[in-house]
Amino acid sequence: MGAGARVARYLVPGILCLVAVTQIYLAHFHNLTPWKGGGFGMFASIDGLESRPVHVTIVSGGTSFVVDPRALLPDDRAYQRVQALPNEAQLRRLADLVLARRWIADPEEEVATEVGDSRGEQPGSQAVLMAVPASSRGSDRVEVMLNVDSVRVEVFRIVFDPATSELSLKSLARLDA
Amino acid sequence: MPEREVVRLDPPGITPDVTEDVVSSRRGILRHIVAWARRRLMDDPTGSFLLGERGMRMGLILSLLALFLTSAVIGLNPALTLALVMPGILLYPLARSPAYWLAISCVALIGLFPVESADNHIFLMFYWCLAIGVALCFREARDVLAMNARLLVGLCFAFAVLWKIMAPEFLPGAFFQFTFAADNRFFQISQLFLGFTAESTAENVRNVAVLTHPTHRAASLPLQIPASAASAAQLLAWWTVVLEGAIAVTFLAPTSTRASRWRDIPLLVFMVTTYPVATVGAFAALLAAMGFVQSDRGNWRFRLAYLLLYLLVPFLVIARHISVYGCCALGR
Repeated sequence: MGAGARVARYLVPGILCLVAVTQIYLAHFHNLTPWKGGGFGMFASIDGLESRPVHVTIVSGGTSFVVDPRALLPDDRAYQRVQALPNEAQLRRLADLVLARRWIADPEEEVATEVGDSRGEQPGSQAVLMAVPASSRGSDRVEVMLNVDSVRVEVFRIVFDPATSELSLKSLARLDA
Repeated sequence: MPEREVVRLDPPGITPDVTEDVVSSRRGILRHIVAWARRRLMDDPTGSFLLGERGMRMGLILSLLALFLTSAVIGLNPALTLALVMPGILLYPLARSPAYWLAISCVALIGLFPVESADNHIFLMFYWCLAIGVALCFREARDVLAMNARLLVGLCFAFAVLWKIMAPEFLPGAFFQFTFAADNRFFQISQLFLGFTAESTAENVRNVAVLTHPTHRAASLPLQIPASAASAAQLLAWWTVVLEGAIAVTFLAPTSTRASRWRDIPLLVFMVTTYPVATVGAFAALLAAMGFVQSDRGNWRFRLAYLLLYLLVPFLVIARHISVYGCCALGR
């Protein structure tokens, strides 16, 4: 059997190995989720896409305002790409999208992290203020234009402690712009 | 009145008169499939219709159908995918053409982008289509394809086991504790056998949703995990590593070894015990097709088992969706 034929026989398994090793490297050193990328790490870790919230926060005059990152991106797939591989380029892109828009805050629309009907009373949660793009608001509400001092984009992963049965968030990547 | 001699052309219980009624019901479809298999085996007790070149044809058809079944998941237009696979299903010379499969692998490659968010079974589908195209370039195509199927399955499970060993939350059971609590595919099992209640499940789902919501700022939230679930989680974690490790070892071992001769058993056990619960239908169909192809050693029984599992996959997925939605409805 010639060398070419031997290589061809094992070409596809070789490609699988190469891709899988690359995925392991990216997962360990660049925060790629184990569930994606061809490394066959699904069902090994709870660190999947759904377990990776992306937090975007505007700081204006010392006050933090929360921005929904999904509203910044064209579709769910773009959001999933940020979750899957939160590298600097992805975070920078989100930050640039925030800085490219004008934001307003409505003091009457305080949003609390809530469970059921409680408003900010759930242990571990805190009340936050929302910021929305200026063009999306009607003129009949009180609007305060925000001077964006800084933007923070941070991607987290869920961590589960079996000893305490507690879920918490661990920061994977963060960008301050 | 003279006695009429009845000539039975089908196994007892299945006659041409009732065939249409039998096929019309889902249970009837399953019985029809089993009866077809029995009929073929009665005509050909050696099962040769599953082996050799005819087996190769069946393996290629199963692979084309698996591609169609996964088309929506991959991100391919199902109608276009059907238009691509049907010629190969109907024309065996086309299905035997390496160029046809290399073209199909180019189409499957589209589903890999963006790469960082592509699922593992999409990668495996691409590898399998490419492997078929490459194998068909060889004179001994069946042997090369069987070898590639064996290696791809073995490597897939080898990396899966490696990940499970590397992940700090898997072997201690934390992964399955979280999965039992928050993955709706396991709600039925967790509520029937592991001590979860509808209320605790709903609370867990709510807490996970709050913690992972992009505009919520909770620092930490509890999950309600019964003690029985914690024990079951650890047991299941070790069982999974042992079973998947057995698949990896037996599939990657040289075919002359005793371990390799029994490789179909752990894979079949894995498929039977996993996919009724964690229904990743696309993966199951693809794995069954690859298992079918690599099992070309004159033992038709394993091939029949893979074929029956392949045919059962759509029913398992449907049944699972019904049970999940039924469980969620009851939970409300």
